[in-house]
Amino acid sequence: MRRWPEALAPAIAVTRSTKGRGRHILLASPTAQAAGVRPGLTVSTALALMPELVLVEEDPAADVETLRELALCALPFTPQVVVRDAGLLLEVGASLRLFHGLDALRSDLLAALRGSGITLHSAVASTAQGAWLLARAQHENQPPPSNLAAVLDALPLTVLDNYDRVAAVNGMGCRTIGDLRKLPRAGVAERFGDEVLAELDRALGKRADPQRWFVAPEQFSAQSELADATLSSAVLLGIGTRLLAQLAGWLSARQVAIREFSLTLGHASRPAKPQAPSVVQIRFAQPGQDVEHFGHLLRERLDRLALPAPVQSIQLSTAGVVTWQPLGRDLFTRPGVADETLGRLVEALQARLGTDAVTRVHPFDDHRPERALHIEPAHQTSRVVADIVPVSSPRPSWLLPDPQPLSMHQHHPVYESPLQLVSGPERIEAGWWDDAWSARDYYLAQNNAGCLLWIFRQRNAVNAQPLWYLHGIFD
Amino acid sequence: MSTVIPQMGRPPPATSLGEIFAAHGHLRELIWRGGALAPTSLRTVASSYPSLDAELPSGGWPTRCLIELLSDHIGTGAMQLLAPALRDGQRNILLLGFRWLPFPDGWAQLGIDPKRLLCVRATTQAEWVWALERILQSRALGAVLALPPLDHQLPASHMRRLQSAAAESDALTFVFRPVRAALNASPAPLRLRLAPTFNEKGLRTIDIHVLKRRGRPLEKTLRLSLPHPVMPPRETTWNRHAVDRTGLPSPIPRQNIAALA
Repeated sequence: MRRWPEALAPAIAVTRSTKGRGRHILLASPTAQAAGVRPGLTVSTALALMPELVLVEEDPAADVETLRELALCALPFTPQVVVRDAGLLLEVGASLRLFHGLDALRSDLLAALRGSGITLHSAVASTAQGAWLLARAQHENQPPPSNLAAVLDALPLTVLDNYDRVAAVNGMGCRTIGDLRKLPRAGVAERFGDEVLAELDRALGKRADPQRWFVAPEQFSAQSELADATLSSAVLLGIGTRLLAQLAGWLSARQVAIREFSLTLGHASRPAKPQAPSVVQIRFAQPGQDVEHFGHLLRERLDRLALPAPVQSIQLSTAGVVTWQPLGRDLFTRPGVADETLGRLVEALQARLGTDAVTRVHPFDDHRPERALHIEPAHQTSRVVADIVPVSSPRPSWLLPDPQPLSMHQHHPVYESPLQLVSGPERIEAGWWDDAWSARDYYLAQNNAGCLLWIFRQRNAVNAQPLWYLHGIFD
Repeated sequence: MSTVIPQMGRPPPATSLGEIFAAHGHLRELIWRGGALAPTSLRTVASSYPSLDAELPSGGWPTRCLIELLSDHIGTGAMQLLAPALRDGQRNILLLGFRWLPFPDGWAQLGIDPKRLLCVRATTQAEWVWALERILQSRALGAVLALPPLDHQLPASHMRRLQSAAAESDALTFVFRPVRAALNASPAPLRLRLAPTFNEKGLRTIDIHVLKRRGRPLEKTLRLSLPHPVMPPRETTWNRHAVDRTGLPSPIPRQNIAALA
């Protein structure tokens, strides 16, 4: 259950210390197994076989923590997840159809779990304990055995949870589960206790096997400590994506959506020079549940983030949790569906270009053209909603943000070439009440090229000010 | 050499191509003829200018492709040209990179609800290309109008990226470029050069030169007349927005507004 980069993984074995048997091997990596290191060996035997073997003592608390993270990652695939001391049990029978069969489900699930940097073994069987024993025997990528008893009989006794109790039968020539099952049940029960038989019965489906399902916590918070402090946004994004995978499980298990999430990046800081953590906060226009989309937004933000110091730890937290109201999946797209994807697009553009770069224009009831519209960020619902009062006079499709003074040639305004006045004037005079008085005569004008423009003559111009301005474009 | 003998009870074999097509309509799609324009499998939106529709390969503005509109002028009437196609549907129209503000009254007069407009600002070429590519991946838009940042030559590699993104998008996608862009090849399947003109009556027209389309080239230049913005009778405008000064002398010399008469 330790996180090691695959290529760098040394020959490694996890050990457990018990009173009766001293320190012995619990799990061994493939390289170690190739050298003959098997679970159950004592440490001295293992080291004799492979002197360079790296031994790690098991850490049940850390394992359980990791398993709970993995359980969150597994929740989108099935709500029925059990966290055991060294692994997960998943009831996937009800999910097979949704995920297009066992093989597709298995590869998706393993990809999601391996995204966490975990090396794991998986197996499928008709009983929970049977699958558990097969997984411990690394019986991978097989269809569920049709004759479970026969497959289990061939497994070594070491895979049993209760191996410690029956270790003595090894000396009696009993090496496999099948050997153990051939012994008289009454004698086994008397000598090793009922637990061994109970485990075998549960594995074979002869005894009820109730499970305690994993329940997603009320509040979501996930963190990760980095082995090496980093400034690389790619590394941060990789870890962020891993944390988001846990968020995906939590969201689907609790049937909620979130309005925002934030990634708190704790920096490596010395006591002499404390460094406040950087926070990447991402808000959505509508509560969302699509973690893949969250990942895209996070990538855009992390790419642009300037880090003051290397990052040591990452924490993902959520806010604005609301009950998820899924959109119905219609055969035909409806406006509501388009709206949802539009919200996505706006969020993505705003994440990269800035909030005020994506805007909507709202009409406003004012005669002065430059005040007849309000520009507001697209995600906001406008406070000033005015319906368009139809104007009978022509209005241009584009308005210059600031009127552009026109040069003059023989008393004619010029834009590229002398302008001919096509129609007008339309006098617009307003604003004496708000210190932005304007008195203008608007004309449609056309230059020699045929461009149609909206120009005005300033009527309240002070002497030195230009008289004619370009204000709009009839495109 | 064999002779085809018509069998009893079956019609004699058709001899001319027209008869064959009349009997087997699906064959028409399978045979390419030199003078024909590209087949019409794309969703198109009619431009509602019949003489233009007749020359566009699929009988209208094609979706799933970049449409380049080349012009060096402002106020050409391009919006008047596009407005009928933009009118239908409720989906949003995205304006990328325009340096001017869309004027709600003006768009309403074009027949387009200004609430459908979404403006995106992109100042650098990298931002513009990224934004357009991202926009074309979205399924939420009815049309995209994009104006590249000033003084930037768009490299063909960028246009190729954008064209492949547009091939997946069902929005009408118009890219406005200067006329000098015609000197360089572009992957956009449809390129039109626009020039503003006016006819002998002084009414507004637009000249369209088809630089590139799927099919044989078009030699002639199309001239379409556009709806001309009309100024209503003077009394109504005077009275709406201003103090009534009709009794006062005209603000500019009379000869300058001769065109009004």
